[in-house]
Amino acid sequence: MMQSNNIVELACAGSGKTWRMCHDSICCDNSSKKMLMISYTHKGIYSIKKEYAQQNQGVLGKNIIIYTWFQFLLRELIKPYQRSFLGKICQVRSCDFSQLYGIDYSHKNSKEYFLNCNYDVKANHASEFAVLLNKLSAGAVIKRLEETYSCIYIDELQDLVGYDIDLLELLFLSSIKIYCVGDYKQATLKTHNPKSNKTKGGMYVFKYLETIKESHRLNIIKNNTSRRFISDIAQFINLFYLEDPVISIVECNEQAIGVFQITEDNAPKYIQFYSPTILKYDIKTSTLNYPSLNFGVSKGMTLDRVLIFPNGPLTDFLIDPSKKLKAPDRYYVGVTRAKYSLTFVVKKLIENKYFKKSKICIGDDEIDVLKFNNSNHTNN
Amino acid sequence: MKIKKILIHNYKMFKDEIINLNEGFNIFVGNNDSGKSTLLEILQILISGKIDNYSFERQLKASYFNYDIRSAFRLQLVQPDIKIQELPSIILEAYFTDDGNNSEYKGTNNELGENCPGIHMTVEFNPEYEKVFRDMIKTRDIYDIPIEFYKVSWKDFGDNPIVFRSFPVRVTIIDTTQKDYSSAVNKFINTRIASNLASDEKVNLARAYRNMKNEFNNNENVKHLNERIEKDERLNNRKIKFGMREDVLDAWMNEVSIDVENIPFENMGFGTQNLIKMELVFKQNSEKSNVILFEEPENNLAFGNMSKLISNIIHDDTKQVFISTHSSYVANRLGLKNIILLHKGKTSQLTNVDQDTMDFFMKLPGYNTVRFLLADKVILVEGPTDELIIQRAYKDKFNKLPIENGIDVMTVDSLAFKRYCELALLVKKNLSIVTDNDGDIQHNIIDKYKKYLNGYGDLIKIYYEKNEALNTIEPSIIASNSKNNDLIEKLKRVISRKGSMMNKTCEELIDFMTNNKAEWGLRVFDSDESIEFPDYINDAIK
Repeated sequence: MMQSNNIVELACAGSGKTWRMCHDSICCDNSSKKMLMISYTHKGIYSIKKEYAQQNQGVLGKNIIIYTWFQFLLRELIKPYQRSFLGKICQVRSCDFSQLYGIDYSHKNSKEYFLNCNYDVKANHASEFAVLLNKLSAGAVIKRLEETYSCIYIDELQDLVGYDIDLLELLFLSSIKIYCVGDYKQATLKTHNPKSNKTKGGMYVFKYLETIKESHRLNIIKNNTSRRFISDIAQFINLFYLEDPVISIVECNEQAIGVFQITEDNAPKYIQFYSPTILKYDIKTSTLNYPSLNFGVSKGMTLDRVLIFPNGPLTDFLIDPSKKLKAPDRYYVGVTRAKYSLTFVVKKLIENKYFKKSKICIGDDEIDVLKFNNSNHTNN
Repeated sequence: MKIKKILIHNYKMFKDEIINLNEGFNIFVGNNDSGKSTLLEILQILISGKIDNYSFERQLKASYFNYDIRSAFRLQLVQPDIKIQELPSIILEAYFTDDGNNSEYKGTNNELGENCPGIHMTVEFNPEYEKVFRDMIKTRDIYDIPIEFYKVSWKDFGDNPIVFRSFPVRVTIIDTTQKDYSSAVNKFINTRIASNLASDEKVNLARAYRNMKNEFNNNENVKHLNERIEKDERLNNRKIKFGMREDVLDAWMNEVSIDVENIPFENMGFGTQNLIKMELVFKQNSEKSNVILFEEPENNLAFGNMSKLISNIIHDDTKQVFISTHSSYVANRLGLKNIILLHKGKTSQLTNVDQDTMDFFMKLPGYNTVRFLLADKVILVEGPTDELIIQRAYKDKFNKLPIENGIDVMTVDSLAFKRYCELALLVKKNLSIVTDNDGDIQHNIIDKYKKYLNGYGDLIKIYYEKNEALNTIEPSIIASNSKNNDLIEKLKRVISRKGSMMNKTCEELIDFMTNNKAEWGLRVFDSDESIEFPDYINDAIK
């Protein structure tokens, strides 16, 4: 079978990557073979299912299989040819995520290296196991996949690390069309803690794939146009990463749109009037007892308005946005959720070259705020 | 997707057996209790998870386990010191052809380690009950295979669980041995007809039924009635509405009836019901490939209907058909190479049957091939006279009829002798042929059977009169009873009715016998006196 053309899409937050993925799968659904859609998390799967149904009269396609990354590894790659390594059949049970951290003393490529005593595959070595089984079965693992699926879609590509990348390369070289999308700026999660390929996976995955573009027939597309948020928010988030700036094409007529800072004493009024979703870096950040979500949890969501209680590093960043955050990925997820307004709660309103004094209406009242001003700095 | 073989471990009479299957027809032939029905049962369990329409899991019995294994296990339980090394388990596997279209069921999770799609089914001890079991062993409360602690699982060869609803092979059972004259129409509709409809046909019928109900509810008269009720009638001061009942999905089945030429389906004979069911199965153009299990089609069907049915089967090569039968007609028509012979849980196949021989029996399906295959030893003769004489000769010698010792004497047109020789070589069956020399031993015997007499040991033996002058059995009999006067007088007595032969010459005797072949044979067979038999007949029954 011939190797087919693969698509790698680097897509910014709100660019509609899940939409395009589902759209592509609906368009391509004409062969007798099945199509597989994969996301790392259960939440990712949920949003794929929801998006697919929206485009298909509320129902999922007959030929569409949707798995999490580990369901994919276990069901499609590890179980069918476990005999090639174990010499026995029907042994492997599930996945063990309990040993992601800490030291594993087992010998590389021993039974204990891949499986715990209940015959659950250790998550840290699952993709490595899959690659090994393919080798031991003389390629039967990939051949079975080729016979089953015409196309495999992988969402959240930036979550793949370590041996996931070796596996991905095997998939690229197969006759299956691989369509993967992701955003290296949101590399907050990873499938496991790898010992290898540290410069190939995660946030580096796109850079690495660029180097094997010819040999693996990759068509790499960049999509930095966001349909999620207004221009002010796009300008603001581009301060987090200088590369591949996001362009907004959203227009709207809501009131109080933009990026703001407000003081703590105005927060209750603001929250009551605009009902924003409240986000924070992690559990250690106080939100004045308002119910809130961590940045990581909000990944993949689109929200109308977002109110963030910043932690220390983010507070420093707001005081001087030209000083870059050390690990911006998780903050980046938090600030790319809102459609209309992104508001930070601070102790004091301190002007800088990005944030200037302004006022917003809360019903009949007006409150003092700092407003992010993009017009002076569009060319910075 | 076709089943290419099944593996059986510990199920009923099968201890360890691998049976290669044909993609088209599989004819299971064997004596009673040889495992024909069990094989059909195994296919049903593997592909549908059911046995006789009920979940296999809930019907699990210790008697499903191989009898020897079960007795050995029970013996262990009565030892003074119970030491169990291995609990009995059942493994059933279906291996499918690997055509690349069903690779989601593919892998090497099977006993043979083959890489193909398939189903791996096990009945084994559930480790969750380990403690209870060990305690019960200690208190000696286990008397038999503890099936209450067993679990049943169906997995594909990729080691993922089987969902029967979406599995691409469907099994249809046509069992003419089971009589079911239940009066409820819906049961007939459901089990005989509805279960053989394609799923989209079923959905459409259910939809049509719902539409009809909906129409009723929206009918002007019903609406009008509801308006009136709403004004006049109140229940506990709450509104009342009149309409058809909301119903479960399969409700339409309870409401329909099927008429065949104006006779309700349930009033038709069992055979006709099966014929109709069969037609439905074969007309079906389903996405799923079909496996059809057919138990003894010769039962409950008149010969004409059976041959109609057989032609239906022959002209459809999309289905994989499994038939258990005692009927040679069925076996001959479907092709002898498709026969799988069963004997006490062991199987042998006729795959290598010679094409000419198979065509011969296909064109002349009246020959008793199944009877031939099932006998321990066969003596073929040319006519009823020869058969009667050999039976009598055997009885005189052993005081029993040959069949009581497993020897089947069959009368066959001498044209078919060579065909049976082919079959005998194929299944390694002892075959004796008793034939006339018709005056030319070299031509009629030596040359004709050369092929079967050399190089196959004693498997096939030909018995014939060595004296060419005695060209048929009648002169031979006369010759062997002419050694002295007493003998010839006795022969005359035996063949006579009321002394009719007593004054005849030998030539007249031969004349009478040749013209009344079956009659003189019967008289010899029934006689109180025993006559002498020619050497070749005595040799044949030795």
